[in-house]
Amino acid sequence: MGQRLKRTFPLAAMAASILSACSGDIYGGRGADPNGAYDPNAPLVCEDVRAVESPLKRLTASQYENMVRDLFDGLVEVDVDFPTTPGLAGSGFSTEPEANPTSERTVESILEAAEQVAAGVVGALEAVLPCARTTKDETCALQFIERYAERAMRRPVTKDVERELLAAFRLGAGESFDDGVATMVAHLFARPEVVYVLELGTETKKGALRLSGYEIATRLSLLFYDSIPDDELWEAARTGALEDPDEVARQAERMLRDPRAHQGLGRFVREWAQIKPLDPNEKDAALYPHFDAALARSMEEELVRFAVDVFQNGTLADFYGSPTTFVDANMASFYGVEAPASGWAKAEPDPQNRLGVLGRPALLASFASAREGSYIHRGKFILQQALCQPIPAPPLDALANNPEFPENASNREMSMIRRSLPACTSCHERLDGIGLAFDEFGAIGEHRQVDSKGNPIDRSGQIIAGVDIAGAFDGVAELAQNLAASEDARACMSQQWFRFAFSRLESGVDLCAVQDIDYAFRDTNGDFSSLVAALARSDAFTTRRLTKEK
Amino acid sequence: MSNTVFNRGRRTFLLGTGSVAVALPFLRMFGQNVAEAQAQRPTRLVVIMNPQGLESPQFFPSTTGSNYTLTPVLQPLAAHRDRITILKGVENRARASVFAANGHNAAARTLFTAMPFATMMNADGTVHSQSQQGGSAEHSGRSWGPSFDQVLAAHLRGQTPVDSMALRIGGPGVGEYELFFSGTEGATSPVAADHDPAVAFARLAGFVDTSSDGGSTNDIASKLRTRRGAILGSVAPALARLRKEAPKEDREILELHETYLESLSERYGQGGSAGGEACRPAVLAGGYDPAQHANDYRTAPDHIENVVMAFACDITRVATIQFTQYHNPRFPWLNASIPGSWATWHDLIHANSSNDQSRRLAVMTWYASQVARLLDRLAETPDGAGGSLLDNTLVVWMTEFSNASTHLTNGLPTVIAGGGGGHRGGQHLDLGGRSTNDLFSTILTMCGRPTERFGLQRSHRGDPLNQGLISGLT
Repeated sequence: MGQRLKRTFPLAAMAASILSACSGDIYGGRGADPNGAYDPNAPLVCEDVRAVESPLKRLTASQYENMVRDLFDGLVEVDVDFPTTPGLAGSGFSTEPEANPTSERTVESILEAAEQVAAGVVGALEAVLPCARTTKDETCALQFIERYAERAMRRPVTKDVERELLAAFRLGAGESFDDGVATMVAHLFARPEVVYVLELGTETKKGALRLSGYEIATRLSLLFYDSIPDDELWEAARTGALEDPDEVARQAERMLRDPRAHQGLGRFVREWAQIKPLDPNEKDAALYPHFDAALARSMEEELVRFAVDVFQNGTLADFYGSPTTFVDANMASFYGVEAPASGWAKAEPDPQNRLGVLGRPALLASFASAREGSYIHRGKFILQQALCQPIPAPPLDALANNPEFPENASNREMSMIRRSLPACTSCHERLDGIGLAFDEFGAIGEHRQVDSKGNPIDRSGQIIAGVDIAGAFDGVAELAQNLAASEDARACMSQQWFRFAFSRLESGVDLCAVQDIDYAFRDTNGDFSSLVAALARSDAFTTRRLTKEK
Repeated sequence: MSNTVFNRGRRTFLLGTGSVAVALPFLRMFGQNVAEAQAQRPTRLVVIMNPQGLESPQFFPSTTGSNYTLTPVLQPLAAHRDRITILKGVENRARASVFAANGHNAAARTLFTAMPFATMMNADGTVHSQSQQGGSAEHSGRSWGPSFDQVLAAHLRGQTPVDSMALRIGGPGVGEYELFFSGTEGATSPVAADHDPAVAFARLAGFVDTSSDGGSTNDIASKLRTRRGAILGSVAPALARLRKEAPKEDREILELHETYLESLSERYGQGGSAGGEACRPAVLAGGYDPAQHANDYRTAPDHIENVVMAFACDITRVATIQFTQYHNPRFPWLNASIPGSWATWHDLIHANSSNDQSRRLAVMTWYASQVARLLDRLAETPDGAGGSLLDNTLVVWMTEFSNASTHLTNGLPTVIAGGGGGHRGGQHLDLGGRSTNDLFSTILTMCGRPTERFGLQRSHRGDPLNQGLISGLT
């Protein structure tokens, strides 16, 4: 707790912040405007613990699958189908509880998943549980519990739990030892400690919980690995080392660079970029005869490799402005650069036009229809995901009143016709003004000089107002460079990491926690590993704010 | 190992590697007095939905009454002419009361609920203009109320081992795909649907009772069911303990989980219901990948077989079948060159020109043929107490638009079929603009769940959406 940075603010700023947001109350909360938005230029006075709410989360299907694979060293694989509805997540991140509703079907799916684990364990029993080779008895069942139950549940095995696991073993053991193990494994993997991310903590202050070391370890491992803790992290939890915020930060920096971080960081970039699996069937085969499933998968992989490398070693300026990416044979052929001898290698496919994340075909193809780029959605993506500027939904009758467009009209011509309707102007000025600059990229993210109808490309763009990079720009590369240097884009990235880490949209009472992350990001010139370390070190990460009387 | 329940994956174990038909002759009738059960059996319900509309000029016959001429699109239903009512003048007026980013999912997601969805609602239940949130929440959100099929399912809860079955043909997704919601007003969850007929079969089979089989040696389903009941039961104490330890804000979800755990455990412990003579394992064609849209024409019949089995064995009385390929289905089995010169089906639907009619008609006729197949199978399958399954079933076929290119939601193409609830059929009825609220109240009442009002009470203009039951159907 002694790690809190003391900063002095100009008096005027302090007065403004007292009026506008958290006024020194705990959690940066009470008295704050719950609808307030984060403003990096209005420093908040934050003292004491700023715990944030952390609603109960259930493991997602991919977290459950990763857990099983990591726990049993790859000997057991499951394919899980939990009902999820990603569109329901206000944060845009799949771990948000709202996207993972509890229904009878959910509970049944969990049971079915647990049965799959049981079947997998029994199928590889002697490798998973060596004592089964010789002694098929309760002692051997106990060895399973000792070896696996704690890590699966991400908390110590109490006497109660051990008793219940053994009881489950006995339920099936009448039939055979294998049946006993299967029943016990199915029971374990249907248990709430496995399925839910429980944060019981201990109440240190009214309305706030201090998380246990195991719970902090779980937050870290779900964030970086999308899975359960690894051995080193578990050891830190067990020994109490994670009570020291510096150790939490150290673990975060270590895990950030672990190969497994591709799972968690990959999820961040896919969900931030709102990428749905690219489907070659959704592109015009006549226009894109070479766009097949293999290329689609390579595009998705490229995006993740690019982003993970930046998160591990780079800065916000790299995220938006780096000319370097990764290519395999498919991507090399797509870009027209030399293919690596094998696997993936760094490349600079087009430093003039393709910079950073906005130059990646997976992202560009995702905001596109079968033949054309979707300038409206591309513009919306920049405003909403890169600048955290919300855009209202179109009015009810928007599509019914869609104007007629001349055949072969370019995107820009269509936009201008739509913008001539008074009801459409204000939003489409903002959206299309940005999105039309992306016209230099086609429906699978290819760079082009003419559109699919033969119209020449005009890549001029404009950000109307509201952010520090408002104004005209020429093409996506200039937009990318502007974002790379933007305070607002940096603040937005901090907000996105908050959403990712806490699985929800921030509200006004969370702004001190956002500021903790953002100032570290700012003070290191947008260094991602510093952002990650600051996030892990922050009070918010190791505490939990309660909203209801216990 | 061969006699253990868990030695292979659940599906493999239940279904073997070959056809489901060879699986297990376990769906038999036991126990109860069948005649008695049949006498008490209320009307069953199937809701079948295709997306992106059925263009009304090609759908509706030109005259109303009983002497109408079937349109070519509806020709596949000719054999059931006496059992169907074509309903004209049905309006989804809840859709007009919500604001949404997307004209498609606003229409689809209100279709069976007659309710706005949650991101469009204020906390007090009034409708607001839009969501300011990030992500893609404005495209979806939970419905404010349940869909009418789930109201019936909740009403019938406990009478059959499974409340309802939800089947989909095509991919998963959000937005337009989620139309069916369970729960109560202000607290609904989307109903998760199975896309793989083999998985749906396995899920149904797990509930079938073979315990009074006199000790069948091949009683795998019973064993599976018993084991599942035991596992569910064994988890319950842990959940109860944690619920007490957990902070208050966690308890709602944990309680919900516990409730479902208990109801599932109870159901697995319960016997199967009284099935009729025709209760036997569904014979699925199988042998294809149901995740591929190109196989939709094979998935649909297999789903229909599951419905027939579930009804014949009285495993459930409520089923929904939904075609979910929304933006870019290509219907390759129709050889109709779809989407032709348009990039996608969605583009074709929006192209308000005349030269695409043959493609639209081919697709609409195909949907009608799948409804006809369902009616055929229900009609030829005997119900235990006499008559056919169709005699005791109401089938409701709807789509979300009467004109997809302009997103029209009045005059929704609607067909009601079957003899359930005293439905008489044989006519083309023009309701002259009645709400889906009234239609679903009427259907629920016919299905034995008397309902005066359903869905949103008043439109955004303040006029009441419930005006009473629709007459002329019985």
